[in-house]
Amino acid sequence: MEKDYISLVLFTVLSQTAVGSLILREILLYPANNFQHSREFRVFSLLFTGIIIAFAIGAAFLHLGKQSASVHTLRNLRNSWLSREILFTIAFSLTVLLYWFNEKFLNLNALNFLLSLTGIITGAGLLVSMSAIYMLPAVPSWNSPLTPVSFFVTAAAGGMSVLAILYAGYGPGLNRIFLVILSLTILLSLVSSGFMVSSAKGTVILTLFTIRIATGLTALLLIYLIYFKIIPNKIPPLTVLLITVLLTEMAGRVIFFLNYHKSGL
Amino acid sequence: MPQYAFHIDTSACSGCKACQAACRDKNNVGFDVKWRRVYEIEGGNWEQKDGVFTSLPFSYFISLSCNNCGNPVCVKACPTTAMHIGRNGITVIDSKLCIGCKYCEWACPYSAPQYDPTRKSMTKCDLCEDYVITGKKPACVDACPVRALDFGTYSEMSEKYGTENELHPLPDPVSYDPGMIIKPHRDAARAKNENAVVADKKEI
Repeated sequence: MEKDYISLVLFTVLSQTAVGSLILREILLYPANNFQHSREFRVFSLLFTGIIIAFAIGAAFLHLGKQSASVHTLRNLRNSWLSREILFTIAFSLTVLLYWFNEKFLNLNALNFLLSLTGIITGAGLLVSMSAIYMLPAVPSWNSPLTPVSFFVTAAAGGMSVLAILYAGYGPGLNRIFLVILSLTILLSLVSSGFMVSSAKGTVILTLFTIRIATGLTALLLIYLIYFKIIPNKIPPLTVLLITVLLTEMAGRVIFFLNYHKSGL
Repeated sequence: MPQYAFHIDTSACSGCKACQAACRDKNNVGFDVKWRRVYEIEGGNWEQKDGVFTSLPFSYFISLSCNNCGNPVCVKACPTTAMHIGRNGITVIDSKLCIGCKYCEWACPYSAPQYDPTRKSMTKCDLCEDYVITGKKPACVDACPVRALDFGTYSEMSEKYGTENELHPLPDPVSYDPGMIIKPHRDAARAKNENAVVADKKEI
């Protein structure tokens, strides 16, 4: 595996977090008919998603040998999952930008619905195409259902952690069921990477797995403390929670990239 | 357009790497790039007979480059169409279009496309296309001192050597249709049963 995979770790984890935060936002807003949530919540949640996807795209560029030729990346939509992933990334980012613009300045209800739907479709398309990219027959260690499972779990855990901050800051307050679902998602993430590590070798991978377990358990401890109101349901502890969740997912993704082995050779 | 193919006689290859050196010399590729690679496969076990332990080691070499697959996954994977099947039926890279994302390298089961940090682009064996169109063989083939390599159209090579293209530990060729015909080493069956490994992974 090439040495500059760290940019791909950042791209995959951040873009999945952005997609997760938008899709979960739409799910949470839908029953509340969108406008029972504060205007700040609606605007800031899209702004956060936009900032995260912008950082993800920036990280993706660092991986390329020749950034100047990247204008050609949509030429093989017919065959290449990478072309499709880039299309979905662009479409998702533009949708988030337009959605934010509409929520902040125009507030057109019909456009909100259209952009919400487009955001969900392009976000899901991004997760599916990203999974297909890595499920290569030539790389048996990646060509497994664990690959899409880990991507979708990152989207769920990262997305929920982002929304938790926004709920505490601008929303109607953090629902305790939300915290239970987030802790179950983190547990699922830790279990799924356990399966991945079982087929991997090397002390570096085992060290990373130990770090991942430590950060994952820290995140679970924070959720427990917030759930039982031992620490307040405020932005600073929830920011620490987001950081621990992202670190857990990034450690898992580094393990994933280190576990790159071609069949036979 | 005909599919070109290499014949690799693993029973004759001595692992001298003259093919690798000739390839590097002809194509002027950097030290981080190996369009042709010589894999050393090693294995073995022990036999106990009448109280005597006898070691039964084996090793053989596979000289491998781009196999110009009939179903090239690198072409399908490339987002920019930089990797494409050229006029002469040989899979080549248009370096102007290549973004150096390395996805073709991941997708290729033989790791034929390789990133050249000085060119900031993917590069790969083009079967010495400039030689082939003038009727000559690729540099690696002519450099082999034991004639373990041969090259021609797939029909020529299969007529001469048969169609065997499976050898441990190469990936299952069925989905890729590689332009590669192999004469297996006499220990190839043992290698599969005894799960022999690539010994020079770090060098490659």
